[in-house]
Amino acid sequence: MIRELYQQTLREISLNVTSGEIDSLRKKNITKSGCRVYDSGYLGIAGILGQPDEKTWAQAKANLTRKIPCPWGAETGKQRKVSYGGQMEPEAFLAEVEKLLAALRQAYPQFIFSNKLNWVAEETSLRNDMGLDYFCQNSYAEVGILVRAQESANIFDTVIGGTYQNFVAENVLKEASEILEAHLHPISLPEGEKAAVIAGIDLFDRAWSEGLHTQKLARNASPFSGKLGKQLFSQDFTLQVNRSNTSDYKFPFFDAEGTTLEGDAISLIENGVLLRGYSDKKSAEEHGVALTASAAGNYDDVPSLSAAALDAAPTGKTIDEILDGRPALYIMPSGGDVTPDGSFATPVQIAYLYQNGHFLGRLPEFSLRGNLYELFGKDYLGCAQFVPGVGSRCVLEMTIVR
Amino acid sequence: MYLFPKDLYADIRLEDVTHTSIVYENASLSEHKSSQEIGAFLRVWDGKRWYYSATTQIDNIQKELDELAALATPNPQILADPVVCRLEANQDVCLRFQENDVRQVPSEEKAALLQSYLPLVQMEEITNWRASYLDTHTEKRFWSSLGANLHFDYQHASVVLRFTANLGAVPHSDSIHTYQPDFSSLQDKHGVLKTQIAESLDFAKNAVPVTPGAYTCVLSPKTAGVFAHESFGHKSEADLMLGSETMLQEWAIGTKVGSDLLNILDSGVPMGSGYVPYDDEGAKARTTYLIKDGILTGRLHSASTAAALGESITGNARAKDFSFEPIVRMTSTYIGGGEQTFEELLAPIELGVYIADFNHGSGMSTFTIAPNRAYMIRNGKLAEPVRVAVITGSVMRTLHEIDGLSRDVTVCSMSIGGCGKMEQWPLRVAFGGPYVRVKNMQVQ
Repeated sequence: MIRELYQQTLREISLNVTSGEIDSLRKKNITKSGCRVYDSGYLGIAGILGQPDEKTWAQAKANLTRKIPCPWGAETGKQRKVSYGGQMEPEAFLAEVEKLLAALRQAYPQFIFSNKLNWVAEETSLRNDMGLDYFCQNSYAEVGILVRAQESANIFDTVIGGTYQNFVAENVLKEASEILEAHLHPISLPEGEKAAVIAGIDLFDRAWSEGLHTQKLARNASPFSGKLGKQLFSQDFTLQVNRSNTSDYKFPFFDAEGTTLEGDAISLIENGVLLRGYSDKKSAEEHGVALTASAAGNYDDVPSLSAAALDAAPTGKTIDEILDGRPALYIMPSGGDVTPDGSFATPVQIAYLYQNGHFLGRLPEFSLRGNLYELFGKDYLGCAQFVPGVGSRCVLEMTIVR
Repeated sequence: MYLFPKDLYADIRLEDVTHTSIVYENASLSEHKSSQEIGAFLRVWDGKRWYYSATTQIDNIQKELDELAALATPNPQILADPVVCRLEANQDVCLRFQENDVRQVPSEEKAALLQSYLPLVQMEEITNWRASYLDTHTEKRFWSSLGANLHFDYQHASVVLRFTANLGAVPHSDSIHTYQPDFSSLQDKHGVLKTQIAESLDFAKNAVPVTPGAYTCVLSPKTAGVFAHESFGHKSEADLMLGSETMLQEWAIGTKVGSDLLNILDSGVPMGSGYVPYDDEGAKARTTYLIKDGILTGRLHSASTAAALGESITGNARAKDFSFEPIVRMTSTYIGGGEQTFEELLAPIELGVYIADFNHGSGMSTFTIAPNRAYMIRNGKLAEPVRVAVITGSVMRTLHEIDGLSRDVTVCSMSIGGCGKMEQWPLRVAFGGPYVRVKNMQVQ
């Protein structure tokens, strides 16, 4: 019998902003513990908020009678500890946020600022009595400031912020100013049926999560079923499971089953060729495929297959190098979707015209359309270097619906 | 009992949530979990700033409250504060699920119930499936420095069948479910789910890509509900209006915002996934008309937003769970009924699209619904199934484009997922309406 403890701890200071002023402060310090017992090919789990006691372990052992199959057992004998991000005392975070808000109010009285700024310290650990000891700590500021123009009747008009391992008001203000200055300058959509669009891979989440699900791939339930090894997309397009902190701070280097990846990443699509789906231990064993560290779940769940940590691999150029002087649409879309045959459409309510390192102005509302196989095929221009905490930014040719 | 700090407003919300999750994937048991989570959320208000703390250390609530109060500035006039004046001091025990408490049903019985549904998806046409039994029993206690003392509960029980069929040109994935307030009501829903699976398989076999364009659309009650939620519901949440004179003028009570036929309501009273007898700052549930006969008549509030806008609370201060503060959220949001039948709505449409079900929706100035199943309407009749990526429209224009409503209203509960707003996702809500006919929807 192996005893294993999966723990997640969240420490957070959250500041809520209304009309440009902090109107609340929230603190959290929550530990969630999942006790796992492996025995005779089965897994028993019991969870508790806070630290577990013998009662929790006894419940986990008792839950073995529920016969959740786990013939692959636990990871054993591996150790790694990683810490990302800086430290910040609550008082320092509060002061820095006050400084940022004061600067925004002074520089941009045309706008109303609201929503959250959080300082987050997350710890995830997986330890068992067979020598497994994984620990990952991430600290970062999450800034999601909603911006509404004074004369606007919208819920919000744009968003500023991002994720920062070191939160410095001046740096955030500089980035925000780029967007806010552009927002003050309405500009027309470029002529032509198509335009270069700068977007994250998450715009097509549904296509990847449904299509690259190992179980669905193997069971003829994915649009990509039967296409393993085939060139489906551009030679420049590589899609990875990336658990390194170069992509997204929110994923520890190990998944919920303790699987890790060499270099913390593995390709699912490489140079346009479909290599594999994302997998957990169950699907990898059932279908004889490589593990991709794609098991997830709540602290007290049996880990299951999840399309987490997907990102496009950079193609070695910056956005400006990819565009080579062309203007592009930098979009913040909401609500788009892809049908199983690859038809993609999304309305775009927030977008800016970008050229040579600068946002030139705010674009009117429009829609975008395309087909997945073409967008990541002949219309795929490349993927820019990772932006820490944001992920990659792809450049695609898309059809504008005016 | 807790000692509340002097010259400050404070409240404590204690949540005890029990959850069961049993999952079979392609005939293999992959989850069988029973869990209990107890946590508390504390708030202190000094008239200028809220101070919040989420804790799982239930024995230390008093200490946590005292520490939180130490951050605030005592305010001898706190009882005259406009926010505090709006907070209700209800005292009530409202336990409606003690007789049919899902916690009393042995886990083995729940597993057996789920097993009885498995044959519905064990068929050749379905290549991949996942079947879940899910239940949640929530007990909340709420105390405030004003004397509020509440103890209430709510409960959800569901069977959810997710599956993929590959019968046509591409695979079609679907999720069907039955939501009930208790375990025993789940016993006999096999026939209903079987019919829905048959409809889904027919869609999988025959759906073709839609020709993009502007169409008159007829929305099913479920889709009409998400339309109301996304197109207008979020615009009614008062916290999103604060600080904007323009928005307040544009959305002034009494403004004509939609067709004369249109009524949109929000209420925590109806039983279902939007049932909230008291909100998370102790206000009693009520029904709010957001739009009546096309005229804006109300909006959704917490005590803070009601005070800021000089209006009354509506029982819509809700938190996702014990670790978040209540913010303005919808409960059950639905469109009121009209005078026609479904067939009468279809009859005048030469070429249109019927949206039967959806995957997700979102809304700002433009709303989006990503349909799961849609059908062409040709010469007043339902025709071939079509695959649609999204339907979209401008909120301001589309509400005026509604020109027909069926009589009967169905409020649909959600078994999984919920509404997302900023960091708080998912929150259980319900939504619905009659069948709704809307002109000039962009279909892509």
